[in-house]
Amino acid sequence: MNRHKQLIAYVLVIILMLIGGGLRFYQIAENPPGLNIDEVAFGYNAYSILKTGRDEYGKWLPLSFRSVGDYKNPVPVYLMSLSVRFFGLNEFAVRFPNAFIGTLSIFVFFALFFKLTKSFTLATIGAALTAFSPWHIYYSRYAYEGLIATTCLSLGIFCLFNVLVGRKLFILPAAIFLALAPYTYYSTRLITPLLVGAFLFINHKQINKNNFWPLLISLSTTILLVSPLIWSIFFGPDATRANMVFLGNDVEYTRLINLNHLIPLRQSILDLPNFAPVLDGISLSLFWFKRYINYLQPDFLFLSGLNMTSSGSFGLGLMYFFEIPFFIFGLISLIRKRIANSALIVSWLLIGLLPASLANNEQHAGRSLVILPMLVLVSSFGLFKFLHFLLEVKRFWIKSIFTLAVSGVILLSWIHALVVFSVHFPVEKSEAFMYGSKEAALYIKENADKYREVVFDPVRGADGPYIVSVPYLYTLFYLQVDPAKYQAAQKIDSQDTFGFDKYVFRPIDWRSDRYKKGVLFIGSPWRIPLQDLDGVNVLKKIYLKDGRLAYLIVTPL
Amino acid sequence: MKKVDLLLIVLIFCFSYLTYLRIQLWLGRIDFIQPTIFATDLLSIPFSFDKNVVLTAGLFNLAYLFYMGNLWFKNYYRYFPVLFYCSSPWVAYLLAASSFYIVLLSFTLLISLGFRYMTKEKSIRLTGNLKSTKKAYVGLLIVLLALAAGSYLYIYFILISIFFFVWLKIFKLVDFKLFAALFLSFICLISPLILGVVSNPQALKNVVINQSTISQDVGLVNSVNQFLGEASVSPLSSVARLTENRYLYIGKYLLVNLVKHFAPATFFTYERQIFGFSFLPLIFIGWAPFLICGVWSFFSQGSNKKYIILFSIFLIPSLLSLNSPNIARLLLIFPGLIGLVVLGINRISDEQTFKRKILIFFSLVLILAQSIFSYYQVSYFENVRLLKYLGDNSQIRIQ
Repeated sequence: MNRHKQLIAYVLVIILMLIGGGLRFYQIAENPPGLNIDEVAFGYNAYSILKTGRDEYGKWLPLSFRSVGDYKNPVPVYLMSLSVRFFGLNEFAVRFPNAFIGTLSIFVFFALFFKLTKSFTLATIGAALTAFSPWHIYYSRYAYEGLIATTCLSLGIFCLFNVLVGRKLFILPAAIFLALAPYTYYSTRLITPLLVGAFLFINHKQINKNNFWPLLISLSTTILLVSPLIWSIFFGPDATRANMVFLGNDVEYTRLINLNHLIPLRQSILDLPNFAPVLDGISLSLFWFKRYINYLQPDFLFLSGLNMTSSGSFGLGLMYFFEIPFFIFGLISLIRKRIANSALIVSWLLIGLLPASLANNEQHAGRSLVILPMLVLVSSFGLFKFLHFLLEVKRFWIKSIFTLAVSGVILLSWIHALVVFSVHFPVEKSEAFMYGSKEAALYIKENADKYREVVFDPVRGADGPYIVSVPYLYTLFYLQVDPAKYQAAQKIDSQDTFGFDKYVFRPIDWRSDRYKKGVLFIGSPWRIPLQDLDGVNVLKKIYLKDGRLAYLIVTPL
Repeated sequence: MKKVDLLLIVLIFCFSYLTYLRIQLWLGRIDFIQPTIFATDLLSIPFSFDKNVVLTAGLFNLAYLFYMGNLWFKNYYRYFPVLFYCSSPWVAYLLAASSFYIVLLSFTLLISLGFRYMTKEKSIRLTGNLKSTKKAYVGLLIVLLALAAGSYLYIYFILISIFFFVWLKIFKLVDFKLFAALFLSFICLISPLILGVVSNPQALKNVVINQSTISQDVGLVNSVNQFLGEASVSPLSSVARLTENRYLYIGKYLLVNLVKHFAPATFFTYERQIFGFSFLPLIFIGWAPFLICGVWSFFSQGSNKKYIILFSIFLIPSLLSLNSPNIARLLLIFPGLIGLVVLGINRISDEQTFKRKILIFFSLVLILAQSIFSYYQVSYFENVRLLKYLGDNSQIRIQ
C-alpha cells in the first residue's frame, strides 16, 4: 500500500514538475519585460568568466564579484556562465538557471516535506502548492540568487536529516549544499549556521555514537568549505554591505522615529547624554521588532507582497488568496503540535526572517524567500486537513458545495494570478525592469558606426530622474563586447563619467551638449527636454509598456 | 488588603496617570472630532460626551478590572489585568482624547462579565431550576441591558446584538422560550430607537454612510478601474472580467482586513499609528508571552468555536471602517485580549518551574522598560511628530 502510494506520489510530482517547468519557462525572455540591473551584471560577468576566466574588472575566478554599488555572490555567476555557454549571451541564458533550479526545487521541497512529515500526501500537496506558488514562480522567472540559496539550504537540511539516520552517502552532499547556500546569497550566510544549530539542538536526543561522526565530518567539511567567506563576512565586502543595508540607516527610523535632527535638543533636555544610547538601543530594537513581525502581515502575505503591481493595488501576495484559511488552520495545527518536526519548522520560520528584518527597507518578498518552503508546508497542512474533512463528510450535497466553492475560489485566484503575471506586471513594472535599455543598446549596436561618440545618460525615470541605471552594462551585454577587449580597454572613470572606446556614460547637460555634432545622445526626457529639440534630429523615442516616455535618442544637426 | 498590594496599585495608577497627563498636556490643544451618538444623531441633536464622563468610564474600567483580577487570581497575578489596562498606550491616548470608545469599552467589559456568568451553565432554560441558574440569569440580564444601552450610543451595537442573538441560537445556550423572551425584551428596550428610525429613515441612512467608512475608499475603486483598463486591451480581457471586479475586490479586502485584526503587528507595533502620528504600540511587547500562551491555551482547548465567533462579532465596527483595523473601534475587543492574557497567565503559572518564573520576570522587566521608554517618547518625541503630522491643522477625527 505504502509502495503504491509512493509511486503515485512520484508520478504526481513529475507531472507537477512538468507543469511547474512550463509556468517558469514560458516566455521567460520577454516577461519580466527587461533584464534588471542585477541580471545584466550577472549576465555580463558570467560571459566574462566563460571567455576569460576573469570578471569585468579583470579579477581571476573571484569569490566575490565587484559590481555597481555592491558585491555579487559567486554561485549565480558561475552557474550562469554554464547556461551562457549553451544558449549564448541573451535573456534566456541569464534566466535559465533560476527557472531550471526553480523547477527542480519542486522535487527538492517534496523530498524535504516528506522527510519532515513522513506523509506522501502532505508532501505531494506541498509540491503542488510550490509548483503553482506565485512567489516561487516569480523568483524563478528572473535571475534572483535567493531562490537558488533556498533550494541549496533545503537540500542541505534534507541531506542532514539523512545523515542523522545514519545514511553515510549523504555526508558529502550535506556539506556541499550547506556550503553552497552562503556562497549564493548574503542572507543565507547568517541563516545557515543558525538553522543548522537549531537542527542539532532540536535533534540532540537522536545524536548517538552511530551518527555522531558522520554529522561531525559533514559539518566540519561545511565549515572548511565556507572558511574563505569568513574573512569576507567580518572584514571584507560583506561587512561593508552589511553596514550599508543595516536597519539603523533606514529613512523611516532616522527621520520619523529617532528624529535624528533632534539629538542635540534631546540630550540637552535629558541632561543625561550617557542614557541616550540606551534609549536609542531600545528604540532601534523596537523598530527591528516591527520590521520582523511585519513579515507576517496579511496584506504582504496574501494581497500585494510580491510588489508586481503599483503600490496600493490588488496584485499578488506571497501566497494565493485562497490559502488564507488553510494557512490559518496550518498555523493552529503548528501551535497544537499536530505537525511532525514543528520545532524545526517554527525555527526555520523565525530564523529565516532575521536577515530580511535587519535590512533597511520594508518587507521584501525576495529577502524572505528562505522561509518559502516552511510557509508552503504550513499551508499544505491546512489544505491536507481540509481534504481530510471533505472525505469524512457523509452528505453528498455538503461535500459537493464545499468542493465547488473551494474549487471556484482556487480557479478565480489562478485567473487573477495569470492576469497579473501576463497583463498588469509587464505594464506596471516595465520601468523597474529597465525596459528600454535593451532597445537603446540595440540601437547603438546598429548605428554606433555613424557617430564619433555615443553618450548614454545613466539617470532615467519617466516621472522624474529617480533611477540610476547601469547603461554601460546594457551596452556591454547587448553589443556582446569581447570581455578580453573590454578588460584591456582604456577607460574613463571619473566621478560622474565612465567610458570605454567611443561609449561614454555620463549625465547629459543639454545646454552645452545640444551643440555637439556627430555625437549620439541617449537620455530620458528629463535630460533631453522635449520642448527644446530645435535643431536636433530625433532618431527614436523609446516608450515604457505603460506608454510613458523612457528614452530619447537624438543627435544635434 | 496588604500594604504592598496598595503600594503596587498606587504605583501602577500613578504611573499611568502621569503618562496620561503628559499626553493630555500637548493633546489638549487638539480638537478631537468624536463620533456622534446614534440616538441623538437620529434626532439631529448634536451631542457628545463630556470629558469627565469619559474619565469616569476610564476609572470604572480600572476598578472593574481590579475586581475581575481578584476573582480570577488569588496571588499577585490579580494585578495583571489592571496593569495590562494601565500600561497600554492605546487606552492612554484614547482617554487623553476623551474618546467615546472608552465609554463603549465599559459596556463591552460589562457584557464580558455577563457572559462569564452566563457560560457557567451549559444551557439556560426558562423553566429550569432558578436557584441553580441564578447567576446565569443575572449574566443574561447584564448582557441584554448592556447591549440595549450600547445600541443607543452606537449603531454597531445593534448589529452586534443581532449577531449575539444568532450566536445564542446557533450554540443553543438558551432554550427557545428563553430566546424568544430575550429577543422580545431587547426589542422593547430599544423600541424608542426603532420608532426614531421608522419616523426618520433618512437619518439612519446618513448614520450608516458616516459609520461604514469602507464605502468611502476611493483607492479601491481606482484600483479596479486601472486594472480593468489595462486588461481591456489585452487578449485576456474577457477572462480578466471574472476576477477584476469591485465585488471580488471588496470581498478580498474585507477578508484580509479581518485577518489583519489577528496579526501581531497590529497590537505590538505602531503599524496602526494611534491618531495617525504616534509611534507607540497599542500593547507593550512584554505582554506578548502572556498573549501567546493565552492563544496557545485557547487553541489547545477542544471546543472554542463559540468563543472565536463571539470575539469576532466585536470586530465588525473596525472591519467596516476605512483603513481597517481602526484602532479606536478595535478597543471593543479589549476584553477578549484581557481574557487571552488571563488564559496565558493561567498556563504559565500552572507549573511554578524556574523557566516560567524567569519568563514572567523577563516579561515584567520588558513591560517596565517599555513603559519608561514610552514615557520618554511621550515627553520628547510625540509632540514633535504630532506637529509634523498635523501642520497648521488642529483637528483629528476619531472615526
